[in-house]
Amino acid sequence: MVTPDRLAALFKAYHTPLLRFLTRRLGDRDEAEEIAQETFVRALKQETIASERSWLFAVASNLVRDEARRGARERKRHDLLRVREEAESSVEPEPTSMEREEDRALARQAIEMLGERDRDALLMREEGLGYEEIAEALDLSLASVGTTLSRARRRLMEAYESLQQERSAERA
Amino acid sequence: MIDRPMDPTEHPDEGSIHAWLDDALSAAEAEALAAHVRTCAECQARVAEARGLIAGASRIVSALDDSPASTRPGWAQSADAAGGASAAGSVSVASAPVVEGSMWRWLRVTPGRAAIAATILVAIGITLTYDRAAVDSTPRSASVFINPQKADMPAATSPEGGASEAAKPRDALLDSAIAKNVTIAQGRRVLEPARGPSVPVAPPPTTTLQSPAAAGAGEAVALGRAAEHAQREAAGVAAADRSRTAITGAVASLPATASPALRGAPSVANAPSQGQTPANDAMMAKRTGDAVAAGCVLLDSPDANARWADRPFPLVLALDAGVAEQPRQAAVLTPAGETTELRAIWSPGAGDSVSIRLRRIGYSGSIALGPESGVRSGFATSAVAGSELEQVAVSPSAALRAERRADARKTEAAAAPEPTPAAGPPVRQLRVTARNVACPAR
Repeated sequence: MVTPDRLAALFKAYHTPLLRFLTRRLGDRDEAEEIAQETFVRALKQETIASERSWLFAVASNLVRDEARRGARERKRHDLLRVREEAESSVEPEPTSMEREEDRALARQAIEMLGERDRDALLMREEGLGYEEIAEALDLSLASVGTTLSRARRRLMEAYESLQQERSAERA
Repeated sequence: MIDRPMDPTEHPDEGSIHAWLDDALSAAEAEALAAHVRTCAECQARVAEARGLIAGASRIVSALDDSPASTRPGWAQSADAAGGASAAGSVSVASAPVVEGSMWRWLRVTPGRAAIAATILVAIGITLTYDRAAVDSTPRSASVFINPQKADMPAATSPEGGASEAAKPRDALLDSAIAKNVTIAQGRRVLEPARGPSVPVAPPPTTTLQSPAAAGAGEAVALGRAAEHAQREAAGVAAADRSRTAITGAVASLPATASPALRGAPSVANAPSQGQTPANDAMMAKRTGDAVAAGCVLLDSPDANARWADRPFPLVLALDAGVAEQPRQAAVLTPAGETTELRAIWSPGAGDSVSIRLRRIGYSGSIALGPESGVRSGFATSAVAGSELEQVAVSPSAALRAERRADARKTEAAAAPEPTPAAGPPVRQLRVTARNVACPAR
């Protein structure tokens, strides 16, 4: 059983990067926060965790996938509810410039165009996970992590540049 | 890392180059690859391209963030600055075709844009001034519009309230416009004069600023409870507890100052059925079928000075009737049954977990609860969200509001020291427990 002290240490060490990973992955801070917390709740129930960082990112990644597999109808209903709630709330979105918002939308589109494994590997690497940790979290062989990352980076760049060109053409 | 020993005459594959630039190769592998790259012009170009891909991908990923790039992990920023990984530092290769950020990314807030925004603001001010003059011929400065919030709020509830505020002339047209905007913004909230400001105020410092010792002790208690809960669940004790844990326990655990209304409420344990009733069993609702009756859940925290948004625990969630496994709206009450400004959405999740999302103007927050076994354990967070009611009231478009906020951020950023990545969690995490309770009389 993970002790409360150990869990507190885990939370302090990994909550911020895990939340950033999930926010980048999902594009929704609230949802990311809920999954991050669920991840730590699950950690509490573990007997032992060998590689803590890779375990946390793997569980979070699996929770994201589980969430994605939920029925489309349920998601749609939930989204509608959320939209309605947000419309009722006066909380403004995070203040950003229009350009940054456009940039973020392009980046979001580009990242969504990646395969799930490529995307997870890239986002985990961006959070500082080593190749061994990524291999463990995504159940990859160590030798294939470099290939996965290089493919993810190349495709991300290509997708982003393609989207940028489309936007430029639309403006022209 | 590499499947087989590298042949110095063989070109490395792209994955190996990325692994090398990511400093993920062993010393021997890195040296072999570096030796090859030194003598191979083709591979130098490939290394340069890989550096560009790494830096470019990192920038795209960072564009997903709400926060500025300066709050990204230090290693990522240094990787950007270096245009690649450190492993290549000792190798002389062609300069990488690093994908530079577009110039417009560096020109988000320009003097020209600021001037345009200022011009638009002045134009709006002038327009409103003329409109107002049609109703009230008394000339006033356009600057009054910049701070409608103060004009809207009663002097007694204004943060800067006082005689001088109360003595200021009020503008019927402006007040009407502001009231309309606030009404739209606040939705179905009931504004009661006795409750204080109609706009969010910063929570007491204890919400986010607490002595480390106190916070640590509180967390330790909560974590201990959660661990005990997990142990009991594993031992099968929870199932037995479930039949006897009910409102009695929840009420007994309330502080002495808790509402008599709640303490005097009929216990589910004493009910004729000796079990969970549909009306009261809010947490078990998802197991009772499609239709779920309204019910209440007591949220409590062992942490000192624990608050959710600006409300101290314990709190009672009054869940609306709904459908099992679907999100349900909830009002947030005090244990005495008083309505608060807080609302929430109760969303059952996978594995019998539950997430509760805070709905409170000016705040964001959530609670994640583990599986139910008489009592749920979990974490709560809440933080002040930037409230921009002043701008909501006067700005004609979201684009302009965004421009103004960007300008304000720029000013703040110039005045404030360079932010550094937070060492710990950004907001205080509270341990919470949730139990079914009978709904207090409202």
